[in-house]
Formats: sequence, structure tokens, C-alpha cells
Amino acid sequence: MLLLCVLPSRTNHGRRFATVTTGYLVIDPPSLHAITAALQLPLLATPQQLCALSFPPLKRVCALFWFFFLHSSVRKEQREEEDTMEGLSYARMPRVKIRELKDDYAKFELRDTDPSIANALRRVMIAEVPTIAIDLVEIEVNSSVLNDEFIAHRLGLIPLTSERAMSMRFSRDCDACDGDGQCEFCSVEFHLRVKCMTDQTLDVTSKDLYSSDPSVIPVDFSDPSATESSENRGVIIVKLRRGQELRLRAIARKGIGKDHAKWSPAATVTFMYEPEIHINEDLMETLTLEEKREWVDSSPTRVFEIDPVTQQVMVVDSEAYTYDDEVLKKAEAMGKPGLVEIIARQDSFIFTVESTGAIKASQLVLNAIEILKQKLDAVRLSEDTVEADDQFGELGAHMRGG
Amino acid sequence: MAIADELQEESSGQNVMKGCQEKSLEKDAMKGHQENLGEPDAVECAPGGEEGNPYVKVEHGTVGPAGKHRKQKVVAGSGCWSVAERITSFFDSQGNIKDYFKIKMSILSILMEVGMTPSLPKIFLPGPPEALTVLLDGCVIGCIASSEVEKVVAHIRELKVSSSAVIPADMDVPLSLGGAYPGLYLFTSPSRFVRPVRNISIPSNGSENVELIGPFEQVFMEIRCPDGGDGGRKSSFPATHEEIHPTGMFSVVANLTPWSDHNQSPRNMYQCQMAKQTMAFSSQTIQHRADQKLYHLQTPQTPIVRTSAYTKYNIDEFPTGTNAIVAVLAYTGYDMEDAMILNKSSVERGMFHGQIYQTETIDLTEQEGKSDRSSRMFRRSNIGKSACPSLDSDGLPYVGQMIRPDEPYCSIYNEVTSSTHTYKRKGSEAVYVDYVAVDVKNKKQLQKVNIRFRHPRNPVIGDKFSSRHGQKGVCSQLWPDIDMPFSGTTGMHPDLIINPHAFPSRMTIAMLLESVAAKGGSLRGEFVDATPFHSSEKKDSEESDSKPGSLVDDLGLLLREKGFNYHGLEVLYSGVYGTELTCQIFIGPVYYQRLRHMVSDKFQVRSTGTIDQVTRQPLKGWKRGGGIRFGEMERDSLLAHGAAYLLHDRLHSCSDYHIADVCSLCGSMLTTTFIQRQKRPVREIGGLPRGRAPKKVTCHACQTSKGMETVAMHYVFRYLAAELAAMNIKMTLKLCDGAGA
Repeated sequence: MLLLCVLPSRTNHGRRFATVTTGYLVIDPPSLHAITAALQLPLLATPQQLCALSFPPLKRVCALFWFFFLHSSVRKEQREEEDTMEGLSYARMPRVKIRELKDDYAKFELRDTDPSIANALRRVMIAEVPTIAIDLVEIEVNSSVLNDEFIAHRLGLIPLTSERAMSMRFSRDCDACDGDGQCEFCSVEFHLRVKCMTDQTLDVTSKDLYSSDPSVIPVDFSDPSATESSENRGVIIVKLRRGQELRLRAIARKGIGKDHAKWSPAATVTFMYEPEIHINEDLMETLTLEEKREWVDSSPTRVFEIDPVTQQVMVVDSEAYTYDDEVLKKAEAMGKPGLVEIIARQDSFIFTVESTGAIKASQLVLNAIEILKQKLDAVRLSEDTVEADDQFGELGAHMRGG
Repeated sequence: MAIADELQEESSGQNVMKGCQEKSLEKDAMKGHQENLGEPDAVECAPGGEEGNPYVKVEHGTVGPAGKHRKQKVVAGSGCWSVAERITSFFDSQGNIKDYFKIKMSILSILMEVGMTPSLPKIFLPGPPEALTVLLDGCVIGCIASSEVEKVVAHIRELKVSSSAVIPADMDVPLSLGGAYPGLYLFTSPSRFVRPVRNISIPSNGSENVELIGPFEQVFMEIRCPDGGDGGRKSSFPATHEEIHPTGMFSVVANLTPWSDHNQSPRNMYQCQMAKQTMAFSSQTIQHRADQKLYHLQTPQTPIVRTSAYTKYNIDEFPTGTNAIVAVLAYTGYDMEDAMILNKSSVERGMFHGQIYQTETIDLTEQEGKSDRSSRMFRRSNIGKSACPSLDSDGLPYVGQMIRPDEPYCSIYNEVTSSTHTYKRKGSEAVYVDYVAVDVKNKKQLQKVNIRFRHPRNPVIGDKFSSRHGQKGVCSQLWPDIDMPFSGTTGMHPDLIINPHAFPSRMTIAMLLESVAAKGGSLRGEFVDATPFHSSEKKDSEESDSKPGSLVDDLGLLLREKGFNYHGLEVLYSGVYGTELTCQIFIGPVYYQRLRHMVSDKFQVRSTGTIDQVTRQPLKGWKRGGGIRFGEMERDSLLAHGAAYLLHDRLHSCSDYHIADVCSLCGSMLTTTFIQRQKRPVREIGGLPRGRAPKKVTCHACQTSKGMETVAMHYVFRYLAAELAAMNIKMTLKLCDGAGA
């Protein structure tokens, strides 16, 4: 039986192993025990459990381990006795620095962690943070030009304010309504009744949806700073001409983006490795001003600039660099390889998060971390598992997260 | 009631509302596309796949059966080349009906002026070669001396262009000097095809000198391409006309391919065939149509990169696809061999959603026996309310109702026999009732209805898509967007992934150009003009030097300006691992079309099902739920693999497995008869199922039941024996146990 054990690749601690460069190892259980025992490294899960988690790729397991470290370090105070040997803790201490925060936009740095963690966070933000969206539509009258499925689909895609979503129940787990998905604990009811009585085309918008729960309403995209005069009527569902009517009842439920994209709270979540740019000043000085300018202009984004006073090339915005290698190629073409060295820092990431408005961008990040934690908790053994003691002896305690 | 009937009759064409159902006259719906045809004006038509479109009709007609040879990689050329752009009209430019007599007289007088000998006072007309006959709309009107005729034609053309109204601008002036029937054939009749070209033999006084020419005269004319060259003509045959644009040679569909001059030519041909198979936004009046089958794209888009013809023909009214973000990379291997990975989340957000509208017509007057006509009507049976909840009391379905397979959608009551007959949905998928149109022409009773169904057709694995460059592919996976590669800077992820191997051998450079151009265009918020042969156009002298850059350069610089890679590449991160992909990826928006070949309409699967009555072998054919032939070559393959059990399973067990009784004495399997025993009450033993009574089989020929054996065989074998017996040939079987063989 092979077991995946993930070891740190770029930490000081990790350098003890000959295999650090690979980032992960595949070893058999006895050696794993030996290693973990020697290093007092907590063994976190049995292979069976890891498999059961259905994280498909290898690296995800890596993510899992490291996030557990992150997680356990957060709970440091709960495990004081372990912390006596501080130097031996493998927990990295990821840092988050928020750069910009708006309701629907966040930009932050995530440092001292691995791409797997960053990607896990990204994936959870897109696909696993719950929101509320219309899931069931009962159409009473629809004499509009769009057919029933079209309207139902459009309704589903309207973002609803979902602060409640984290504490709400999934309809499938709801005890109150036997999975019927129509009770107050797991659903929100909407009504829409519009009929066009005039010769002017009537826009039916998300504002025409009446919610049974005032905390769950269609997201208002209107700019609060804008004046009243700018007519913002919300998301258009359908347009009606004289005599046409739309009457329906809709049930909104909690869900996640994995099940359907309509439940995804994220419009865009992306991260990039933070670039580290070192200009070889000596080599740079061998260039003429003309050459320097040419080289600086070879980058499609504004990364470098020439100081008008000293005529030195300097980095103005390293994060504008898109890893397009244009400047490297240019340097090569100019016969000056090594003019600049650009390293993608594998342990710090710049995240950009845009929310659909269902939840605030900041909340989206926090919820994602919360969900990641829950997932990691699921990895731990439950308290009453005895087989762990049989298998791993003392390590069983670690595995229970004690 | 009578008043109501009259009202209904008068308001024919308006909807008759009834409860929540809408049933309008199908009359206007049926007539809809016919009316299109009859529209007499010189129409510039758009190809929308509508049958009623005269232009498209012509295209199909002129080039023979399109699509028949789709499987072969033979360039059929169907619908790629231009035929005509307009048809001549009954009406003049003011909208009045043309006075053909007046036109004829004015033409006659002009021809007489230039030296035509009229035929009317019956005199002997000189024939070729000294003189050429002149015909107007097929009637001989005179003759002209051969030496004069070319000058006459030039004169007529000049008059034609000058819009002096003495000669209609759309007259055909074919002059045939050689061949079997030399002569001057003039045509003025309506409904001829004409297309505009520029006449360069007349001095242009600021005007364009656009002349409408017909297909007959075109072959006798010298028309050059406006690229500034002479097209290889000798100076003895100078060009008299010039195409308005080099794309004049293309048909409407071919004109829609962006930068088709950058593609390998067969690819453009494939695109012309495929454009007709797109599941497009085919009609603006779907509500009022009753087509047998109509494919409809739910959320089409206008292409970012488009040709001038796209705007000219108003294709925006009938768009065919979606601007999909296409990444060209081999990701997970699910994009091998022209397969493509679709972004599941994009699809969930509505990309390429569509439906098929299908109409069933039920006409009671048409059906079978005339004896019981008018005794039948649309009505639900009184007891059947609970049995078929999908039907209203008038025997018709509710609009918006979902109807599952084998559920009734229409019920007919026969007054004579007082029985009801229901129409049931076939197939394997649920459909929605979109519309019920009733015919109220018959005053007495409702006799004819059209029921339009809606089949949802959202993309699934196995559906076919294509770009506008003959690059078709089948969706092999619907991948959630978290697994799609993403851009670190913009956060974009592709809607669609295609394999890079689609390009080297096919050389559809225009698709790459389209991707780059669309990216630049979308960044700038502008449409990009992709009219082919733009660079070959004859430039005006002033700006001949002002355009130094190549097309690629223009597009690349556009991207650079916006901070993107010149070549359209981007650094993407693996969506699964979060690591940077090892090479840069070509990504950009490409207009993709959904083709109407969908698995849901085609898949064929069978475990058990209908069998042939004679041979007891499974039927073939998709409609009948039949199987797929396991033929000789397949058999050979299994033999070669030694897969005997599978072979037996396919060819015997799953086919016409039969156990026959054979009389081992006479060797016949036809003379055996099974004798039914008298039913004797067999006591049940302790609740066990009662044992099967042994079969009593006797042989008619041998008059005994001894020596009866059962043999497993194909049922056709028994049938063969029976057929042979009918020809007086007896077939005997010699039975032995396996060891003795």
C-alpha cells in the first residue's frame, strides 16, 4: 500500500530531506511512520481517508496537508503542549495582506504558503462557497416571447443577496421539510406578477421579484452614489408588450457553484505568483539610452521605466509583469542574456476577487477559508475511532487532532 | 354562438384565447414562409436557412444536392460561388408596376435608331455571319449587321447604366458571337437573376456606372477583378467591366467567413456547407410558424470579427453563433482528434443553449375512412381525466405542459363507435408543448390542429460545434470552470478548448487571425472588419503608401497597445494545480456555431427490443429502436481475437436464439409437434412453484415421441428449413453428442 506524504518544498525545515525538490514523496507506511516519528510530525490522515476525500490530483493532497498546518497553527493556543518544541513545528504561517477592498472587489496578498493552497482557496471561492439562487420556478402564466425554460434559466442566474447562505440548510439535508425544499429553513419564496397594460414595452426586471425574506433579495447593482434620476431597474428578465403577462412563483435555495454555476458567488477569482525582478545593473549600464528604451518598450505592460534624471532602468510595477517573457526574449535578441532575472515567487500570491454581489468580496474570502477548514476537519479521525490506535499507536492521538 | 363563430371567422389571423391555452389559426403560420416567396421586389436576401428565401433556394438549386457527399472529403463547392444577388422585379424604382409594352417599344425604337432591320414587315432577314438576329424576351425582333453589333451592345449598356429609363437598368444584354446560335438576346422580364458590376468602358462622370448583369450575358463579358491587375487578359480582349469588390465571386454564405483569403480553400468550402447546418437563430417569428422541425439557438451573439457582407445582408437578424473564448491547448487529452472541451459553467450560464421546435399536424378530415368523417372530434374521454392529466377537456394539451414519452398529447373521440383514440409521444425524451394552433375555417367543428413541441437541446457531450473556418468538433467533456486553465492577470478562463493539432494540416490561418482580432476588438469595444481580399483591392493613389503594415501586424499592435502579447498568447495557470502552464497559450474569442447534429437526436442503443417477425432477428434502424448490424467484418475481427464467447453472445444469444425440437430418427425439425397436455391440477408442494410439466413432443413423420432432442440454433435456420420444405427439399439433421463429432 502506497501512501502519499507531502513534504514542504521550500521551507528551511524541508531542506533536511534529500527529496525536497520534488515537493512530495510516495512512500510506504512503515517509512512514513519512521519519518513522522523522528520528526514528531503529526500524521494527519490514513490513505483511505485521503482517497475518500475524492480530491483527484496528487497536488491536492499536498494542499490538504498544508492547509492543515495552516489550520493547526491558527489554533495554536489550543495545543500549547505541542508548541513547547517550537523549532520543530512544520506549520507555516501564511500571511494575508489586504491591498484593496470594495464591496464586490478585493485584492490581497497571500504569503508564505504554496500554490496548492492558493489554488485550493481559489477553487473553493468559485465553486464551494454557498449562495442562494432560484432553483425551482412554477409558471402560472407566461405569454411573453420567451419560453418557460428560458425564463426559469434567467431567473436562476439572478444573484440574490446571500449573507444568510452560510447558516442556511441545504434542502437535501433539511429535516423540517423532508427534502421537499420548500420550508423556511432551506428556501426562500419569490413571486413575480407582471402584466403589460400600455403600448410601451415593459421591462420585467429583478426588482419585480417579491421575496418572502427581506434579507434575500435580488442584488442591487445601482451605484449608491449616483443620483435617483439614473433609472436603474435591475436585471432585465423579459420584455413584455401590451397584453402579455408573466406570473410565477419561484423557490430559491442554497447551493454551491459546483452543482450549478448560478450558485457561484465569484465573478472572477484569480491569483498570480508575485514576480521578483532583479535588473543586472552592470549589464544594463552597457546599453545605450536608445537600447534601454527599446528594451523597456518591449514589455506590453508597463513594468520598467527609465528614470528621466539618472537614465537608469528601474522597476515601476513588478506586478504588471504577466510572465510573458517578452523582456527576456528581447534581452536575448539584443545579445544581453541575463539582463534581468525574473523569478516567480512560489510562496506568495496576489489574489484578485470579484464577487457577483451575492456576498461581499471580503466575506467570500472568509467563507472560503471557513469551508476549507471544514473540509480539513472532515479529514481528521473522529474521536471514537479505535482502529487508528491499532494502526498507529501514539500517532493516533495526533491523527485525532488532539 | 353564431355571432361568435362569425367573429372568429372574421378575425382570422388573431389569436383565439381560451383559458390559459392559446390556439391561434395555423393558417397564417402556415402561410408565413410562402408569402416571403411571393414578395416581388428586388430583394437583397439574407441566408437564414429559411425555406422561403428565394436567394437561398436558388443556391441550393443551382449546385445540385448539397450535403450528399458530406462524408467524403470531396470539395463539392456547393453554395460557395456567387450566383446572383438580386432578382428583377415587376416594379420599377417608384414602386409602380412596369409597363412592359412601353419598355419593349422604347427598346425597339432605340435599336432601329442604331441600325437594326426590324422583322415586322415580313421581309427576308439576312442571317449569320453577315447579320445577327436580335431577340427580345425570346421573340425575334430584327437583325443587326455583325460589324455593327458590338457597338450597338456598348451603346445599349451605356443607356442601361445612365438610368435614362429608355432601357431598363436590369436588362440582360447577352451577345453571342460564336457557337450554334449567335445572336443578341435581350431580356426585360421579371424574376431574372442579376448582379451588379461596374462598367469601366464608359467614361465615369463621377458616377459609379454600376450595371446589373445576368448570368446569360456574364459568360460573354470580360469582367476583371478590381485588384489593379489585368487578370492575365491579352490587350486584344480588354476588360469592359470590373467587379465592385473581389468578394463578388462569393455567395452569401462564403462571404460570411472572415478573412477567407487566408484559409486553405477547401476549408472555406466546408464552412459553406456547415453554415447551413448551424443551429442558428433561424427566425424572428417562431411564435407564428409551424415548421416541421426548426432549430433555434437561445442566446446568439453578433460576431466581433465580421465581413462587410455580414452587415450588408443583415445577418444580425439571424445570427448563427456565439463569441466563445477559445484556448488552443492540449489539456487533459479530452480534446484529441477534433474533440473539444466545453466549459460546463459557461454552458450553465446559457452558452449554446437551444431548442428544437417540432410541429405535429392532426387533421381529422384527412384521415382514413371517409365514412366516419365528422363523427370524429377532438375530445378527451370522459373517464380518462385521471388517466391523461396532460389533456384538457377538448382533447388537446395544455400550453407549457411537459409530455413524457408514451404520454398522450391529443385525444380524438369517435361518436359512432364512442371510442377515444389518443396520440402518444414517441422517443425517449420529455418535450414541452409550445403552442397549439387550431383551424377554425371549418365552422361546424374543430377538425385540424397544429401542436408545436419544444425539445430542449442544451449542450451535452457528443454535440457538434464549429468555428467559421471549417473547423468542426465534438464536445467530449463539460469541464467545470475551476478546472479550466485561467489567466493570472485577467482571471479569464476559456469557454472552449481545442487541440493545437487542428491547425497545421488544415491551415486555417484566418481562425487564428480571428482570435487575435476579436481579442483586440473586444478590448477596444469595436467590431473588426474581416472582409477578405482587403489587401488586394486597388487602392486609391493617395493612400497607396499610407498602409505599410501587414494584417498580422495591425492586429498584433492592437493587442500590444492594450498590454497583451503581440501574438495573442497568454500565460495561463492550471486550474487543477494552480501552477503556471509550461508554455504560453493562444487564447482569444472565436465565433463558434452550434451545428444541428446532436446526440440526443441520434443516439442508438438497444438491449432488447423489436424483432423481425420472420427471422426473429433484431430489426435495424434508429426509429424502430433497432440494433446496429454486427456484420462480417466485425465477426472476422472477433474471430481473429479468439473471442468466441463474445461472438456467440453477439451473433446467437442476442440475436435469434432458438431451441428447436429435432427428431433424431428422421432428422427433421419441422415434423415435431408439441402436444399440449391436459391441464392436470398439480399439487403445490410446500409453497414451492410447481415444477414445469415435461414437454411432450412427438414427430408427425415417425409417429413417436421417442428420440426427441432439443437443439439450440438460429431461428433463421428453422425458417430456412421451412422455405426449403416449401420447395420440396427436405433438410435432415444428424445429431450426435459432442464427443462423436
